[in-house]
Amino acid sequence: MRKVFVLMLVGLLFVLCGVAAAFAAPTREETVIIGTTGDPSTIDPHATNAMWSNNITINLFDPLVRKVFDQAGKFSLVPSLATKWEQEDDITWIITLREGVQFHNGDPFTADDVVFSIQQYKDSTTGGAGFVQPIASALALDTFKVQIKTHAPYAILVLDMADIYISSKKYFEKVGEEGVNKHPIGTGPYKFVEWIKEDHITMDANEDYWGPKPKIKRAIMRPLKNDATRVAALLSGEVDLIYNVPVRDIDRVSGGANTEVKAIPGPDVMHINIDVTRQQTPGYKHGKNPFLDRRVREAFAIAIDRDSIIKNVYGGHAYPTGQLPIPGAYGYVEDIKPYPYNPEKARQLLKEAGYPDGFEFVWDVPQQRYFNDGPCSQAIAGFLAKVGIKAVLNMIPSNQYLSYINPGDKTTAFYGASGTGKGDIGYWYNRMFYTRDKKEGAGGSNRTHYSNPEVDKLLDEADSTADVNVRKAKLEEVTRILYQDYAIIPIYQYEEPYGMVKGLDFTPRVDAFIFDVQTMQKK
Amino acid sequence: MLFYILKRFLQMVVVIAIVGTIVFIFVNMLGDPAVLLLPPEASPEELAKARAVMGLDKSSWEQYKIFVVNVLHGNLGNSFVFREPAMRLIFERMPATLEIVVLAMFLAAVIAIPLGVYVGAHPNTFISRSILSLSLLCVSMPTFWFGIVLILIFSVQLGWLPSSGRGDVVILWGMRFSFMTWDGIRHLVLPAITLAVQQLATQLRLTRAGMMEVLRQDYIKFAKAKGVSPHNVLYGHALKNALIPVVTVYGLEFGGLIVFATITETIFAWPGMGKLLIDSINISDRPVIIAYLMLASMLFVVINFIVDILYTVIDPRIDLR
Amino acid sequence: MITTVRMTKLAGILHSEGFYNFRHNPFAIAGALIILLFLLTALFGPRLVTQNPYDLAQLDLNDSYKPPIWQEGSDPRFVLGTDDQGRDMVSAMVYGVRMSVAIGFCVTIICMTVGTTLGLISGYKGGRLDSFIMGLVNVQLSFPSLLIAMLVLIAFGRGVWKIILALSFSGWVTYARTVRGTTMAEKNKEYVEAAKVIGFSESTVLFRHILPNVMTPVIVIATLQVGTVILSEATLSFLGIGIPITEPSLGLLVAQGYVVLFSGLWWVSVFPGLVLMFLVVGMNLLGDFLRDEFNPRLK
Repeated sequence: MRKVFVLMLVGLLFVLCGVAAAFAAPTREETVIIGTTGDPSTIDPHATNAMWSNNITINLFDPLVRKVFDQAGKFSLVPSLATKWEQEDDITWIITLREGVQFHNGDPFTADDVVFSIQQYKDSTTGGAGFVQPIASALALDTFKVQIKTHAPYAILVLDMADIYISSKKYFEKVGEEGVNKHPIGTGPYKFVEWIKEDHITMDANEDYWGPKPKIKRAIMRPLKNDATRVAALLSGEVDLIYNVPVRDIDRVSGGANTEVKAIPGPDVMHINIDVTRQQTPGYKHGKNPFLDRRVREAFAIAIDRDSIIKNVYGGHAYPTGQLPIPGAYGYVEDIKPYPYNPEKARQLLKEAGYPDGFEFVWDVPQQRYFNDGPCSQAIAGFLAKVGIKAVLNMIPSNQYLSYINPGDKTTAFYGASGTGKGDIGYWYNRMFYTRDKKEGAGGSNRTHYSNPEVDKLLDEADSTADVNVRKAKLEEVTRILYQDYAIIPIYQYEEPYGMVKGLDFTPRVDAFIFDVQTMQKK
Repeated sequence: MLFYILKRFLQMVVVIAIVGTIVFIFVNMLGDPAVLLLPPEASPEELAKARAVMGLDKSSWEQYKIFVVNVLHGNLGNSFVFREPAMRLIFERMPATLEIVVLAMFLAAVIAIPLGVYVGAHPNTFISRSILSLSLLCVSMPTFWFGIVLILIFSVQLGWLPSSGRGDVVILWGMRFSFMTWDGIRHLVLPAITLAVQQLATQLRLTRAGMMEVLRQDYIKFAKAKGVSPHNVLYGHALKNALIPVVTVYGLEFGGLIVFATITETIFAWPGMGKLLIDSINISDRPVIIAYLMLASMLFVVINFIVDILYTVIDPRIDLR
Repeated sequence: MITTVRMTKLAGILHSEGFYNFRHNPFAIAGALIILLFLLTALFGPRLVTQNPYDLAQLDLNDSYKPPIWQEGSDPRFVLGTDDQGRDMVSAMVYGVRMSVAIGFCVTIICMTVGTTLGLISGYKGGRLDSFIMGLVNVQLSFPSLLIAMLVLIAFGRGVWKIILALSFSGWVTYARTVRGTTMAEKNKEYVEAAKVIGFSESTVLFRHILPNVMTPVIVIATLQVGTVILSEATLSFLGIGIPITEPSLGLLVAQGYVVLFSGLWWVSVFPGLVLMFLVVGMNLLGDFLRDEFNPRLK
């Protein structure tokens, strides 16, 4: 009798434990499961600028300044770990930090952590350094004050501060790089729970968060690289939210009983770059470079039916554009429209320029590097062929593409994508359109040797002012020049379609930190 | 005999060394990993730093020497993408590949051998001819296309079976297996069948050919004349000898199937070694590519070695010279 | 005089036992007919179809993904539907067949030539040369041909000639091994002794006397290999490391179709695969017949 009683007691204890555990663990309604397209290679916040690492960083850590996005993809800046930022002089900024913030392990957040984090970014060899490139030094003036000096007057330091996330110096000193990658400790709205590689990453809400308490109690990121699996997981309810619904499945997902599609303009613009400066160009063997003539470039630009490409290759899920910056970014010009589609005029222009039968040139295109790049470049070649410009497609495997076009000695025209995730096009203009080898750090991606002293001057001016409005005006001027010069042929701006279950309140971000779980809730 | 084994063993070592060198040379002709792994905004200084970390700034000869030393220590380098030992990455995915390969071989053998025996013994019946025709179709069919057709029928149209991924896994001895759960089995079915089909057809035809050859031998005629029952003739005398070439091919097929599974893994997004290889090729993750090729080569060479030895043991007609 | 000799040879074949068996074997005839059909398609097809689907100027993007003629939404110009660039499936497949047949024959001929030559030399000379060549053969035989082809393509990139190279790399070994074996058996026969005594040079002995007697297994291997090569090219193209997408390939068409499978756009994958299967079935039917015919142990 005694034995039975003891057994029952033990049994009851187990049951109670189980019940308690069940109550403690977040329910399915309090959990959001997100289907991504890949597992991060590292979850060290300073190591890299890869999307899926960034998506863990934004939840476990806080930046100095936060970007808040609205439904239309435009953003505003609010204080986060930095509460005030003032300019002392052209290259010196004083940042006041938030007091009373704690890391997940209880350690207090101080200026030392900011200085440490910036140094970590600088030391990264895998892409993190790009985040702090304009910063020359960071100094802790006080427990909650940091002085940042930039290399040159830099009007948009605030935009960069939105991408600088702060980790714990003490923790790193205790566990080292491997420890951080195994179990990151931040100040963010979510705490790290576990990472089973290629399967899932779990994060739980930080109940002691200094900001508004996150409404979702648990977030699980699951890498589902295969498009069909990812869509199927959403449709079956296995996941609540997925990135990048393939064009062909958008109708299926938006028509689903419990699912819908939310699409917003993405940060990348697909464009074609052509050699507009050199007398001889490698892709054209019959004499002078035809693209030197502005009429030829115009013909090229208006021969392409952007609407048809968007409809047939991208199922309608892209936006035609005439410039590299996206709406809302500094440098975007509101009244520039995409080049019109006019094949008759194109043929006319070619005849005037001396090419009545058109001409042939080699076009370097990547294969499977950008979304649907193969079909898109073929479609474009088709349109060009109809006005007489025969583009011989030189298909380069994705993994060799950048190495091939970077040196700039083989390329007449190439096809690429650029992102304005940061919110300012200056960096890209410097890399792509500044005369090559003239200024250090500029022209590095100028693979078609574009050279215009007017543009160089404007970019220099934009970079030497600490006044944001002056900078914006200069950049917009450059955009206008490039447009009239047909220096670059933008085709379309990506659309990012997200699939989600009905009832999930989710606002996508237009940068590389898309899944900001603290902004989500389930209704 | 011992001498023969020793000779083959040495040959094996030489082969592995040669393959390793060839693989190293070939893979170094791939794209520049630094450019691929860093974001497109990376400055030339960052690229140089990254290359230094990956050891790419040294001369090819230097890199080769380091490579050889590492291999001898059993270290095949860290993946550029995952920052983990390449070997570990491959071993983590091996159970997944093994699952579909073993299942496929099992299915193939279980169906092909009995059918092959029947068809070989009774080659002129209508059933035999039909089976033979069907097997011809299976051998002529592109595997990847067959997988796609299966997906079309069973996933898209009927919705009975999942079209990709692996089901729920159970962790056994530190490795993840999916055949022990119902969901796992559902995910295993289509990939295993796809992989098995060509195997099945080939083995069936081999068994049939072997049977037909053996049944014409004199000793069979003698056994029949002696009055041994047809059943015993078939299974007691003929089958054993007919199976010798089948069995040896079977062993060699195992290695080949692991590589062939790359296709199946790609179609069904099955997280095995083959898919890792294709992904690594696309992103120029050189250490993983080299590790895969080395491990695969070693596997084949070792299997060949074992099969050769077994063959000499089983078949007394083989001359060791 | 020569005409008579030739006629006699032809008559000899037509009246041989082999041809009799061929005429009475429906499978073999079917195989030969299929192969003939595909050869004709490869040679004359492009002239007969409505468009050159690989000339981008002839395509209209707005024709993309039209279904086959018996489904709703189809266009009577495109009987079996179109792919993502608006290519007519029938035309694309005809060009694809041409590519497959061309690659299949090229690779087989290269392998046959190289392999047979090496096998002859190896078997006849013996000694160190033989050990070396056979060592090479054994090493290569331990590796699946797909892996070897992948390795070559990884290093050298895409392109039609590179694929031919890659597939030839792994295909020559079977010939070498078989021919070597037969050569070793033949070289001790009387007619070889006789030729040597008469004073013919070694290469003449090899190629004029021994070669015709080792050709039989070579022909069988060749017929069966064409089908394998065609499937290998399709597989490599499907994986994305074979033919570039601007060139025709049945494997590439299947790969294209795979991406859109779930949207119900089935025809881009299914038809090219069927064509491939049909082509290889033809080769295998004939190859099987030849193999059984020439296998002395089945008599």
